[in-house]
Amino acid sequence: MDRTVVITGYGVVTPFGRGTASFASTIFAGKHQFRAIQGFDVSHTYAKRGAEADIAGKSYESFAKQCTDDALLMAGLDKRISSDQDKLRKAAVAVGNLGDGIRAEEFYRARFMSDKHNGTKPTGIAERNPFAQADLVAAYIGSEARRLAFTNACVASANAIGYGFDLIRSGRADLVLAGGINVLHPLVYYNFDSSRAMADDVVRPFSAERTGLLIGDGAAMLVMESEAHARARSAMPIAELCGWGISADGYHITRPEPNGEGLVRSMRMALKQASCAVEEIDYVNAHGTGTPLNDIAETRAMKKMFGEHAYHIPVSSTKSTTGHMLEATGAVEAVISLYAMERGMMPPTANYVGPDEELDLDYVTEGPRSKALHTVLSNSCAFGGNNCSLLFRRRDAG
Amino acid sequence: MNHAEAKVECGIQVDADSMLQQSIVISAMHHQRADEQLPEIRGFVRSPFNPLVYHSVQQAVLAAGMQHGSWPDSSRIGIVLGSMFIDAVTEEESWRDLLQGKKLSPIMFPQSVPSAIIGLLARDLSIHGPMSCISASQDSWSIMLDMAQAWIADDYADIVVLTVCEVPSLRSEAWEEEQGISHDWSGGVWTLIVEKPDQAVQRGLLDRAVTFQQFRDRYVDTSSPCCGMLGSILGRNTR
Repeated sequence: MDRTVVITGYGVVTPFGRGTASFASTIFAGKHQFRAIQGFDVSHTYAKRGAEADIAGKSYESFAKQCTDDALLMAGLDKRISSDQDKLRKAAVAVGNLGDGIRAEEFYRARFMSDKHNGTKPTGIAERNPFAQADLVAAYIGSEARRLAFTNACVASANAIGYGFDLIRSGRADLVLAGGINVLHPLVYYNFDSSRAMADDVVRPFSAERTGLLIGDGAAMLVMESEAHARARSAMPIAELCGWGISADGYHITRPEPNGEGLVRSMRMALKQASCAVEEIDYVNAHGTGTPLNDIAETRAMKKMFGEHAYHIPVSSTKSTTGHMLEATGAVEAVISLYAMERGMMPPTANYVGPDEELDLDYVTEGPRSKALHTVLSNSCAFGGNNCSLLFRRRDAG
Repeated sequence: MNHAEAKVECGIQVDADSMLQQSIVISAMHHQRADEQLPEIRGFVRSPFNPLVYHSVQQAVLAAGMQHGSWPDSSRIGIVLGSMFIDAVTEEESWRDLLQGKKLSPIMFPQSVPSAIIGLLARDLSIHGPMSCISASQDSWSIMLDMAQAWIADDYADIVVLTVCEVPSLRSEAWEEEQGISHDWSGGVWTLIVEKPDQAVQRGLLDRAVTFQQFRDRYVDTSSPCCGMLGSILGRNTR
């Protein structure tokens, strides 16, 4: 049986809204969504801005369901049809997230201030458990198969996709729904603020005058299946996930290894798995947080990985427009990479003001760039020095 | 070492030759309850979660005959942290500060993220292979063991460290109340070193090794949904 892993559908929410309809005029036009935070009180924080999605009633549940609906629709799977119900019943679910914190304040306020509690049990905390999002998606599609959350911060959803690859490639699953969710909530914002890691105005990856990251809302779910499974139901693959890699820096709890050695290991693992030569890489969607340390380490990693060819590979960071979507970022950037392949168009690194020392790769700073993309690499890095790379290949029609 | 020598582990008599025929084995283990004394770790405060993980992984690695830098190839060592509720105590403490009108201390941020403590262990134990953190409400041990097995079978790693930690919190308590199950447990940590038997035998660990099935039979009680991903393998009560 053909264990090639293909993507047959995806659903996405970015700070620009649900779906990809706005991509061409926003992410791929280099327009950012950084605004003053509206969703919670930032009167006492140093940072004031983020990339909030203007979507009423946003929550992990609503993002998860919207992305799942859109992914299933694109993949041609209908949970109302009995033959598809049977397939979805056996689908594994993997969701990168650290839990919905939007209502956590209500819960803790009630628990810590008992006079306001009045004997009623405070609610709003169940969805804060990371596994709850995986259970929710599994229940939503009627899956009775394995479901789990990945909690390794900013590589969580890329790791979820890589896990799906392993399940399918080894024959332990034919169909996997994998992705991640992040909806801005006060505690995560205040935590980033306490570390003074956030930018004053906008995110400027790989640029002079970059001052840090900003956080954004986002979510994405991908339908992954074995090629044989897709073919058997006449589904059209969007792309092949041909390899993935994951590694530990073994360096520091928050800072990346300065030479990007850990990221090199994850990229190398992905390319080795796919038997892919460095010359085949057409574009890299970088982690590119816009923090002084990340961008140098990542640039050094690409130079080490690709050698002289590194100067010929276009690299961009779409966090310059969407912000950092934390646990969802790997999945959303996977979707952006797939969209780029479908359109033959690379998104730019926005807000670039000029070169900085050592940052001398082709960061696609002039605006969107047309190019036929056959093989695309998407990198993610996280606290603790966790790195994850996803390698996609275009599937040409026919 | 006499491979044919019978061994008794966890009350199960196992022939060492049949152990060698396993695709992978658990060559060392460490477990500890959360209410037992723990060494502190610099930079991790007000919650036992991260010290438990750190201490247990250190002890399990030591029991596997390894110490910092002594892995044959550090890029072939993987590590996975499993926890249903992750460090909800740090979250509680952070909200307690915020609701009292205090600014959050920057020290609270890294310890609230599960990959941070694994990153510290990776640094201190020279682990450079695959690394992951997961949370699941069912089949927890199966997911963890399958992941280790897959990483070794798929040639991602030679040795995988699996650590599962749960500490009781207001959040775990609320979930258990919702499920109608007891939340009277102390929490703890359990760490396993997983590797191929021919590798374990070289370090003289085969006579202490257990198979996955033996581990499940002896320790994993699937009939009890308490204690997060630990299942009921670490004691109830004594909170």
